[in-house]
Amino acid sequence: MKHAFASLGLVLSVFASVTSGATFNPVAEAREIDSILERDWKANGLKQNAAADDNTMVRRLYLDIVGRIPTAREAEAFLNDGSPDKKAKLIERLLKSEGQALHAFNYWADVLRAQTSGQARIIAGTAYTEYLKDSLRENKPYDQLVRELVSAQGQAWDNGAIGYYMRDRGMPLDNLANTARVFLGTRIECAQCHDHPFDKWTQMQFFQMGAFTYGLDTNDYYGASMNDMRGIVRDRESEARAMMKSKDKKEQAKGKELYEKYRKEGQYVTRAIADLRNQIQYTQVTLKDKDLRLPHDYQYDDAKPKSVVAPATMMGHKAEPRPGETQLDAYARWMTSPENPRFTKVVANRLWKRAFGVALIEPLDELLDSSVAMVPELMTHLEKLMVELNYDMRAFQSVIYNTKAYQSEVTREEYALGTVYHFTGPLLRRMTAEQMWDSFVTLINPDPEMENAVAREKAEQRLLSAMKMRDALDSLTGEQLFEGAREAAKAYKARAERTIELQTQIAKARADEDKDKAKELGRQLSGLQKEMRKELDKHIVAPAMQTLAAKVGAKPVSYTPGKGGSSDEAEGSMMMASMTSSGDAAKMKIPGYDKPELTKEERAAAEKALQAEWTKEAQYYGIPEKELKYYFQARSSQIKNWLRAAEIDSPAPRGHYLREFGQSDRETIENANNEASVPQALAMMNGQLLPQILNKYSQLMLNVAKAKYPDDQVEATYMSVLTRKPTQQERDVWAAASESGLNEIDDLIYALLNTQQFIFVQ
Amino acid sequence: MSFNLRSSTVRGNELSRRQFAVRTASSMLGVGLLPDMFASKASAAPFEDASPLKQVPTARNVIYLYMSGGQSHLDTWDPKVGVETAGPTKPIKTSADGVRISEYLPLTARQMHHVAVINSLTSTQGAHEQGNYMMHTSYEMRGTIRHPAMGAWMNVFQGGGNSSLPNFVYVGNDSRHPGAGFFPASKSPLYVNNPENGLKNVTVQKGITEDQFHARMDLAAGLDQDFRKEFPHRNVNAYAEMYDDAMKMMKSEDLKAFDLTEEADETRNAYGKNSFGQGCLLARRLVERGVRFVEVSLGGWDTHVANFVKVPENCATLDAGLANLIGDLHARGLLDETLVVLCSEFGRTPTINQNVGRDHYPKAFSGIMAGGGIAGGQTYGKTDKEGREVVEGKVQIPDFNATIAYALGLPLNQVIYSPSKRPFTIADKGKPLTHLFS
Repeated sequence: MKHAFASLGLVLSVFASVTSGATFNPVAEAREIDSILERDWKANGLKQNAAADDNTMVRRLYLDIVGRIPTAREAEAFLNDGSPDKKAKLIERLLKSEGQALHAFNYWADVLRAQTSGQARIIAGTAYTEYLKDSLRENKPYDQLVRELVSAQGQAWDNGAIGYYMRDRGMPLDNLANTARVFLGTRIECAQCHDHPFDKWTQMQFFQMGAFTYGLDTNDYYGASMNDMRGIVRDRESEARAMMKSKDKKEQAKGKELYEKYRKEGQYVTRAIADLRNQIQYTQVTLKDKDLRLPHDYQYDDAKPKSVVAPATMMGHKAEPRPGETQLDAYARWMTSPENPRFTKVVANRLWKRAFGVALIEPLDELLDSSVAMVPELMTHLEKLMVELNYDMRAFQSVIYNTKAYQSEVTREEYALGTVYHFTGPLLRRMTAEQMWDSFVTLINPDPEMENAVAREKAEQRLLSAMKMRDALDSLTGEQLFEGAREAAKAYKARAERTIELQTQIAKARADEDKDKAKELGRQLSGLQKEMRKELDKHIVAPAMQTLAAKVGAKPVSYTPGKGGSSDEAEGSMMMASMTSSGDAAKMKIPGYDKPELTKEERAAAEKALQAEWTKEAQYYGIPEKELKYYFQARSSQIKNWLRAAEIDSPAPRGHYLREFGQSDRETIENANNEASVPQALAMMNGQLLPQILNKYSQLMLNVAKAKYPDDQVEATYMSVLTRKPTQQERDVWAAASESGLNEIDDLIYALLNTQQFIFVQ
Repeated sequence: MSFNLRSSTVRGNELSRRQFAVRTASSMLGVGLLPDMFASKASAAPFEDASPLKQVPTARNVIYLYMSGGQSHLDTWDPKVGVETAGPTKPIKTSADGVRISEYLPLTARQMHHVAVINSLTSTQGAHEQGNYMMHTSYEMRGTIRHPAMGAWMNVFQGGGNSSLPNFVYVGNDSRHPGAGFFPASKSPLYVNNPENGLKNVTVQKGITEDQFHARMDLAAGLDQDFRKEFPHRNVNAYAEMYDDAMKMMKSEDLKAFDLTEEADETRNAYGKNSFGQGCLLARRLVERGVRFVEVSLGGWDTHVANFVKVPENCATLDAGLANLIGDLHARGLLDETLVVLCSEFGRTPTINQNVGRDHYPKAFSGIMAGGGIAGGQTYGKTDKEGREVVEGKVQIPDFNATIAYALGLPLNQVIYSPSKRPFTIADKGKPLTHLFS
């Protein structure tokens, strides 16, 4: 394909990651797509929809690229811009913004079923979701992203991509079926149990593909020291067992005695170690040498049931390792190769569909050899473009959003499923759940693009703490760990004895109907759990943390359980390991594992910087000086309480507005729904969102307050909610409403938020 | 009932994969019927042994009590005597001859003439999440699909009750309930976290009068008329209808089901003033108003430590809720048409561990059924004297679930295709325990 070069004075900045040499001009590239579409329309007797006006475009671009409506201020900045290339400039700016990463994350989280906790558990889940956001933020090329996902190994804090496998922990073959569907647009899950009934795939092919990743172990979480320790326990027991087999009677008796002793102690040691292990469970993926075998009921003639399957690709070329490459690397390279017949097609369709509402081939994740794209020439062109852009999703999307076809009005007629669409404009779509939520956040927060440092820091610290625990445990030797566990085991044993006592006493108290006594004893019983944790802290975690601190060069501090650390020099110094007052050894601060706490001055400076931003906003909205204090309070509560959808756990908890609006539960691929539902209507009419939106310092109300006359207030409301001015007919309807007693602006706002045009993207 | 069925007939204009597949499946394959193209050996095989049994429904409603965490069978429905595995728990006599249950369930003991105890459940899933999923869906948890819970199957096959309320309600806090599985979201249960808080967002906001509310909604419709005229798309229209339904619901008399303060204090206290007890009471009130499938969950059964302290505590909660529910349903003439089910993901180890607890044990455990055509006063299946192995009448989880479906008169062998065109049946080929019925 010939690159279109910058011309006609439309000089746009270069997308850095795009291939060397030529200046990439998305507008000129977009014209190529338009000309392909024009030919297609002509051949089919169709015409492009009318060009969309600026109001429609600014709203649509914000919703499609950053996942929310624009603030009135943002919309006006665009509308008042007189330059001819303002749309291209807006597209470029939005594609590089934080909002783009957040909105794209919502999409990919639905595709990849990425959960903050769930099957992957909270550590790997957090690492995974943060990894995806970071990748989208830095515009990681799509092929690289997928390579990193499908070949992911290591520990969650080093490589969040392991979440891709941890998400399907214990279900490697299901994971493979999902991989084929998501990245290759091919449905092979049927072939897990038998040859595919509709497509060409055989069960053998399924298992051959599965063999590439079957060795990725998601249950490996002991770490070096714990494994050593388990070895010591095993050795000691086998030694005793060997003695038991001795011919020497004395030796035999001694062996038996030892064995009994080890076994009795062992059960408590095991318990103690399990309690420790639980804190770092499911945080590591490692490639093991593990054979995949055919199922016991394999029914075809090409192999025997239960025989070992060698890895082989299901389409295209072979995945042969190059020097220095593992088989897994070669598999990832095969998967993401431009020569892979389906890899590029799928992602090109995905990004096209995100703009137009329908892909060139539907469903885009169920491609068959016989699938024909709705506009075949365009499909070929988009695939080529994607390859030429080196899978730069941002650049690719900038081309799509710059097409005249995209910048047309939405198609009036409803698109019928299963028919061919010619992309004379985008389709009318209901906002996604995340777009709805983030649009509400926008009505509340005057600057919804501000990065959410609090949310990100929380995630980061979660991972650092897990890394600290794992490194601390690994900094002890197997012997040290064993000794610690033996000490803790004594307490575990004592607890077991105490539990029996308490149980008897509680039963007696209950029989005596002495409720108070039973309650008090019950309290003691639950207190035992806490004591166990303290014992583990004392004998293992605290020494481990101190060893780790020493290893990284921080001065260790003395540790007294329950009292916290004390070190004369360490006080207040960030370079020293220090204990928090809670006495919880896991909370011991170690440089490199805990971000240094901000000093008073730093905190004040950060606060000041924020307030400087807010002061500028306040000036724009005409908030009087004496009210600034209240404005700051309101803003600081907004950024805490009104997080963007992507900054909330994925998925949001059940019952959250996001879920009522149809957010995916992230259990199956693309499980979000855009259907109307009664709970959704109830939430819109009677939920707690409206009172927040009507707060004096919400973006919407600030715009309203800025307007002097009632007419201007109506305009400000329309601009904030629907990104346009009201029509004469709408002004009349509103005027007439005063007859039914509606004359507050709140009434108008309430009504507009409950219109359907608010939640449909035109 | 409009609440649940509406959106299944509504399709948005945006082409979602799910919708496409559903549509394709219905046009190409004939959803629900075994098509000719499935006659090949490989794909027809899974259904050869699906149960053809179907009956005139003996139950109209189901109240499904889920004991989350793994209920110790030995300390509830299958107590033992004279063996170490029994622990300090003792059996007591019940209102049914020959049926003995744990001493921790004295109130329920008086209702046992309505109850069939199944002491021979067995499962292969020993982890909570997988076990819970299996119990609710009859299928193993998979990464490529979500299977529906029984209430969703019922919604699909039999549709609505005669209430303006949703047909399937879940009372509890378990966020991992499989819900509608691969069926449309409209088949999902309505989730009620706290039975005493009632439904969310069903009353007009504070400071707004009824009249003002309606005037505002009229205004919204007025301001939206151009848009609705311009885009008479299905999903746009669906919203208009959904708003109407929501407003009808706000006014519905049936909403009073959620107002537990209508009940006498005596009754509320008898059920137990905790979310399970009040959940049972709510379940009864919902069933009275035509809601057909209500699940109430009770947690706290994961008794790895101090089993004999915690189980009696849990049992006290369970006993009050369950015994009053059965008694109440019976007194109101509702027990005949309401199947009460109690189950858990697995049982607990007969061997008592070092912390005087019991660990996970899927090999043998218990569940109960009452009402809805079940012959009361019987036990089905048996474990050995220590409660370790099923020695008589093994019941797999799909069999247990097939029994519920059978009571509702649902077709066990009717194949349904998921949007990914995979074939499934209710209760995955389970065989209903037909001899439990009177």
